[in-house]
Amino acid sequence: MNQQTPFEKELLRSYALRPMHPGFANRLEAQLMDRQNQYSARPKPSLTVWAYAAAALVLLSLVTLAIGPGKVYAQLRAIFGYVPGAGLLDRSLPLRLLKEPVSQTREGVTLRVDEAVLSADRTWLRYHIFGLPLPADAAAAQGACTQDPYLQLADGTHLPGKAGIFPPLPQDLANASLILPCLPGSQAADPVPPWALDLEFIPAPADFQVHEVSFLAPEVTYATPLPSAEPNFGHLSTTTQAEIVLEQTIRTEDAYILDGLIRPLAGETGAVKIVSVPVIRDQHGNYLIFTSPSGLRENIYEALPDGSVRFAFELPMANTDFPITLEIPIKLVPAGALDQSQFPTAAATFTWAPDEAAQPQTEKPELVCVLNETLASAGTAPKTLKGTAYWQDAAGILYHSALDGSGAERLAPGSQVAVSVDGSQIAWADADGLSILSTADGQLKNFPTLQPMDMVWSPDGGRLALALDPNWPRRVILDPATGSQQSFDALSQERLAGFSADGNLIYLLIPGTRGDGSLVMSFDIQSQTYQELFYLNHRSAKGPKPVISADGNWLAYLGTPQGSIFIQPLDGGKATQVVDAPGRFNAPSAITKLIWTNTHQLAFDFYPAPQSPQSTWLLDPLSCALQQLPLEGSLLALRID
Amino acid sequence: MQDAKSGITPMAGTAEGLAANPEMAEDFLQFYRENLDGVYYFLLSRVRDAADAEDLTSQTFLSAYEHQHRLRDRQKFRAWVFTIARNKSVDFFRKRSRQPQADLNEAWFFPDESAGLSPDQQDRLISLASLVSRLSPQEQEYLQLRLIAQLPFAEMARVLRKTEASVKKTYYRILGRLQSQAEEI
Repeated sequence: MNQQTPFEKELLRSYALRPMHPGFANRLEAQLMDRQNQYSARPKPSLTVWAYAAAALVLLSLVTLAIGPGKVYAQLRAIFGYVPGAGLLDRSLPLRLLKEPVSQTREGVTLRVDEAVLSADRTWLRYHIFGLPLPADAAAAQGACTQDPYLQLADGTHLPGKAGIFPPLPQDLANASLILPCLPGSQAADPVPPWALDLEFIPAPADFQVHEVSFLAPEVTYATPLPSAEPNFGHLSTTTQAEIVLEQTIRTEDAYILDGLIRPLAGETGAVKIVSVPVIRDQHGNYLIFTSPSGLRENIYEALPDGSVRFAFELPMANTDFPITLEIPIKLVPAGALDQSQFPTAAATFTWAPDEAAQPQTEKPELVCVLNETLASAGTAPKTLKGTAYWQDAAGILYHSALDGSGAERLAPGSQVAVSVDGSQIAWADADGLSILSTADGQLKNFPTLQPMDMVWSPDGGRLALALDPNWPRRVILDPATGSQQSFDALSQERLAGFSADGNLIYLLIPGTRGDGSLVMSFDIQSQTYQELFYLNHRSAKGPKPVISADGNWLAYLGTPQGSIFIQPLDGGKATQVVDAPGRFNAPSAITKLIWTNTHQLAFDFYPAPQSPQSTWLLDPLSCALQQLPLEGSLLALRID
Repeated sequence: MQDAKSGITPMAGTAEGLAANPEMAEDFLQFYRENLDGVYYFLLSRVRDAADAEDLTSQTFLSAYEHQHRLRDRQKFRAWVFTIARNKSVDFFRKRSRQPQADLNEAWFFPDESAGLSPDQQDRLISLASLVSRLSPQEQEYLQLRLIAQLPFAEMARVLRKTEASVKKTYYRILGRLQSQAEEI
């Protein structure tokens, strides 16, 4: 094995390669030993979304043949419907739902099925696993179970599925069991009985909402060459090579979904490649937020074997002035070509507006405070804004300074800082463990046995909740005045978000295993009990970086699209997007730090792109007032005087 | 039996011959066990789909098993198998009309949250993945062979049909460029 530098190890980890299926090695070895001399390629996982899409196409063809093309769209409109999460459903048979949520808990791990929709073409389940312990080490993760879940019918039939989608069940079947042979991250060899949840299905009530799908007569526009910004590009094509086809639209209660494909023109060889993030603008040229419609596709794009690329975008109705213009930068790359740089970039573009009658009449536009272009034009905080910023330089040294970066004083080499709401206590993690400075008397206390990874102060500054490193799953509540520590076991890989206003609760965010929801829970310090509160909307595959406001009323977090900032009241009210899509354009840029200030403002670090310097911003989410703070380091905490 | 010129024991026999030669078959199985991870993860890093990577890994080892009699120099066996794996993936992309590069979707950029990383660590890895995805496919191949397949430079050179010095120079140039970009993260 090659010796690797730490940077090479980091690079290797950035590939995020999932562990090999544990049965694969033995299966292939058996093949080799048997010497079958035939390459029995492993069958693809069955019953993917595309299998159903193929079935839908067959159905479409049959319907067209049966009733003629003139009536086909109306018929299809009646047959297909969209249910968020479940996707595009065939309604030729009555839909059925889960009678009631079911769950099972074993040794702190909970498997829960919250929702199910059964249609003529699929069975969709929304299930989560909470409380999974962290794998003990990388080796354990390598040996982790990756066996697919399946539905087991009364006659013993097994129907395997992926991503919550299983084959359709017979219409007269009211029961099935969801079986998980093992849990993600558990050892394949663990001799544990499979998890089994009995499910009961009932007919969908008349008011069950299914969104209508508008199948469009294909509207084709052609990709046009873009002037190249890259000097090493080869020739620019002067002819169109690909076309964009909008096939169907779906209207939900608050969004439109556009579904279509980009395909090479007849006679062209090669495949369409999406070379950059698409841009959608409204009629005024303003950038629009879009997301990947839940359940319709696994990703915004899906490459097809014929060289086409399917796309699906979900656009909010509110705050959108139609028509919209979608522009997707593409290349048409011949098969087998490894170097794409020689091929010209074109823009696949179309303009679309819903029917007049379908446009929302009474929707009040939802304000998003910050767009990328707002960031570019916002001013710097005035000198009159006073306070203290805590930040880390590139060498890992912690500093505090004025908000304009002046008067910087070194604290220590460290990684975490938490400042109490009243500013009287500053806690940070350094090589000596946990250090806490009392600003009133300058007294510095050190707790060498505590090495925090997350930490949050109670509103009165009397207690500090810590997630410990390397004992990540353990939490401690520390009283710095007395040094007393209250330890409690963590559920899983949750993040500490903050305290309630009265200091009695700690809020935690627990990632679900399927990535389609993070659960907000509270932990009652007195009774040592957990309570489930709500799921986060706008889930993100990135760390949501949850933080609770100083008054304990608001949760701020990062969600889709691409790590935008949302705020949500802790009473479970609606989440509001305040910062739009930092990674929506040409680079997967990110917000790397998100905090509430003591004055209920949000401060965040923004990386426009890896090659650009980061910037620090202060946002009042109520007034949308935005100011840049001229800090050079990475923001850790901020206190406004 | 040794090759008179090289002094290296050839991987003798046809596939049928191998089946009748338990020692040779066991040698291959031993090689398989030692190199399965490298081949599989190399292919997974290229095709980004576990089922496809399993398919291609199976094809690679079965093809190598059947044709190993063509390879006379056992010292080159691993590089030869990785060459097969590389060719299989090129065929795969050709058939699928897809290129060995990062697709622009969230799942590619964002490591699995269950890996137990801190948010900052996740961000760092996301940025690194983004930097890697911007390399040309050829440059990415250097990283895949070195970091994931864990091949020494000499064997990389055989797979890439370049000199060892050239491969080493190119690899460190790519690594240096990434490192300097990563310092700005």
